[in-house]
Amino acid sequence: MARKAPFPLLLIASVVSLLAVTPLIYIVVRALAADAATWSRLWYGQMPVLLWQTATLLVGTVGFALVLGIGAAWLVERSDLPSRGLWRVLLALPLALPGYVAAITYLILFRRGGVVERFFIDFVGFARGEIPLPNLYNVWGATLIIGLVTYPYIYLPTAAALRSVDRSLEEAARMAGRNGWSVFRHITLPLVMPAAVGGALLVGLYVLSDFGTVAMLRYRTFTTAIYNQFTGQIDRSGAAILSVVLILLALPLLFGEGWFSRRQRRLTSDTVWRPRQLVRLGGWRWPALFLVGLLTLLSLGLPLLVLGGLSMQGWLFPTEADRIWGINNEGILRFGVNSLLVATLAATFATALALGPLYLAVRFPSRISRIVLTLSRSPFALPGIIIGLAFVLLINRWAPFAYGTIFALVFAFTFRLLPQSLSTEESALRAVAPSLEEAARTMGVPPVRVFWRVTLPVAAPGILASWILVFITAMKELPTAILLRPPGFDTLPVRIWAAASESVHTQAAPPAFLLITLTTLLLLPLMQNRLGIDRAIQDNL
Amino acid sequence: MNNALISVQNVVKRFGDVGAAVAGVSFDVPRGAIVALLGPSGCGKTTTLRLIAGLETPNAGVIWLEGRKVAGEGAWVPPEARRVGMVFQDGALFPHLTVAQNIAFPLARRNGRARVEELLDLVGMAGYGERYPHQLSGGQQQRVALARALAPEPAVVLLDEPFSRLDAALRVSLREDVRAIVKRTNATTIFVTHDQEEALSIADIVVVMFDGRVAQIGSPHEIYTRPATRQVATFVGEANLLPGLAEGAVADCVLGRVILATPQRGPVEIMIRPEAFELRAVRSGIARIERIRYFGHDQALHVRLHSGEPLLVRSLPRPDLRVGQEVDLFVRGVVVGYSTNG
Repeated sequence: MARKAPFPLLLIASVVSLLAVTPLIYIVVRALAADAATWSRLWYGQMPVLLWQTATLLVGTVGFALVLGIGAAWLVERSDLPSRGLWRVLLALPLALPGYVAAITYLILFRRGGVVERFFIDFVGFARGEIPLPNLYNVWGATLIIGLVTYPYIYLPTAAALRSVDRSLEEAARMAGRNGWSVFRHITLPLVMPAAVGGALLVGLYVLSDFGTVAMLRYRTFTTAIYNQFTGQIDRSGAAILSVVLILLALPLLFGEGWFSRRQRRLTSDTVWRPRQLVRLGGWRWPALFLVGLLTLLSLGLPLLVLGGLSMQGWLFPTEADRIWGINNEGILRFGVNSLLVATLAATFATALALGPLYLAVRFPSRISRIVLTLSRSPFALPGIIIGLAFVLLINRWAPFAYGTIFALVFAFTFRLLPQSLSTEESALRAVAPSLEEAARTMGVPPVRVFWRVTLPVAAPGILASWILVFITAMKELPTAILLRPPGFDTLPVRIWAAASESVHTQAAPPAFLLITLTTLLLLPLMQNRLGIDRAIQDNL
Repeated sequence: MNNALISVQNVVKRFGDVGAAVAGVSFDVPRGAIVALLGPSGCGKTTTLRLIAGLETPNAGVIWLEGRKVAGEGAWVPPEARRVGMVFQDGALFPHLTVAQNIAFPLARRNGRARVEELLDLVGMAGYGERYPHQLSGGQQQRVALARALAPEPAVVLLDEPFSRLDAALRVSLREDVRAIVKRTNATTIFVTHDQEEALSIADIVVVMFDGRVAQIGSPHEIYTRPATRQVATFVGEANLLPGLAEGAVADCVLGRVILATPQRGPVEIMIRPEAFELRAVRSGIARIERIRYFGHDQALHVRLHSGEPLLVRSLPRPDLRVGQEVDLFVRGVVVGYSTNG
């Protein structure tokens, strides 16, 4: 029952989608254009190792995040855990932390010469090298650290699903003779599984795209290999080939996630709301509190404490190294402003551009609108490093004058963010009933004005939430910034990564602390409107 | 302990600090009966049902099921151990299971298939076993919900406003079917409704509730023709109320002398059902017809007495009664009077 779309809208949406899909096409073209020798060198040389490393990291992290996410969701939503309201917020906040910030924290603590070793040497009298320290430079370290910051992708939708399971379904199961555990296993769990699995696929995509964390932990995966190929070779086709393989790995996850979110069953009911009966933990409450507190400490508390403490120390008692690294108010502020500037511009452009294809798909659904939307979503399959790579290649080939400009950086960031904008804004636009716009039209208001005066204001809260979410993503983005930044124009993530690469990890503390303070503060207001962020996560973050 | 199948004794249930949702309710349900809990929204009928099911715990009072104390005085039997089947307002069919799997859910592993087929036949849904709930209409979902509740052959079946989500025509046919089905299985049934037509037409016993208390228990006929209070009278049907003076078995009012159901003395309010009048068209009478609502099979006449009181009268369609017609009114049979002393 779709009306025909007005031509200007169709044009705008198509242009956006074509621009969005260009990086993907270009990477594939470059990969296919590479000579056979490069292909076979990579195929027999690096690829088996990379596949194995990536696969183990993927499985381990998803499994770990599932345990944490589902466990946390159950404790907060279905048990009488004390201070549930507080935990509900704290357990979701690690979303604000990029993996590499957690990695930096734990490297600062546990590497040779780090805080823990120095403490034992100075205060307890051990000799250097005597204390056993956990080695983080392997798959266990990477799994743990990435798992700690990605479990909210599973926790949030699972908690939302647990909240919205129709209570009479569980009561009906009890009336049919099943006890509490049986009800959970046969009724509640199958009903929330789609949400948990959807979150797990998002964690998988995160793992595939991650660059900063694995680079710091020196764990070889596709992203670090792409970076090395890129910075090493004169001919960048090796990087393009590896990129294509990584995209192929990501595609099943991407399609799976889309399939699961469409399959979400309608679980809410509109009967009288009754307070849910919670499982009494009794004596188990103390271990539960301990576990939840430990999780929060490891994922959120330690990074804030360690990085904050070191930043304070650097600010109050600056050493020479600090001055060189620009760790003073002026330096950090400058990088902070850079980050804010790029993130604001990119988030605004992405939010605005996404409206075109979305409005087309929501109001004038057709084959064309679906194609336009899918193309616009395509960068989601591209990890940040590949987007950066694609833009560098494109710019060098077609617009060398633009290389090293802020314009290129913002441009690349915008298309990195576009798929996320599309996902999170879709529900905001769908919430505007067509009858509102139709009423305005019958009152004689022309279509463009209707969009401006009716559609946008009604959808504004959702669009704002979406803007904040992509802004946070832009603030955390690392690989694209590394590849495309103008000389001297460092963002906070770049400073963190640079310090870690030079093994002066403590110098990474101030920018890291500033970054996570900003992102956490931005995430907090979204937490109040829990429904908004839950849906945003469910519509893939 | 009497030989009723279900016995609710002085049960109280409070939620938070607001007044009690159920404030001392008592009634007994004999084996095999269909009982309606009837009352307006918020009267506590659903809470009472949920207390019997075990989905809520009483603050005071005792509940007996099949000769066993299941709640109150220290006893507690959880819902899954009570052998009670329940049909919820929205069906509550498990969306991730087929119709057959839903019905088989309460059954032990073995005799599953045959029993499921038997139940599908019973509720008129044969052949729908492999469908999913979202593929069924509202009425079909309620039938499956009933089959699932009956699957383990419970002694008691509880229904919580099971027809309120259906459209009017479907409601009437489905409730007749449900009545036939539970009678066939000899299950003792309690259903909650705010629709007095539903309660009167299906139930053997009606329990009328207001504000967490039982106002009257009786057969549909008793409730309708001998409502215990004014509130029951006006809730269960249309009621005309006229002031009068009672003197033993009779009372005087503007319509003349009427016979009281219960002898009393003093000022009373007399309740007369619209169909209890006889109308005669006359030249000059005690009332005039102001408005006629014609329904084809009968009609409702809005009549005003010359002394000012309005009355609602029901009659078969009659050509001699027209708007503006002067009429005389006579009361057939016996009326109920409510004392208005003090």
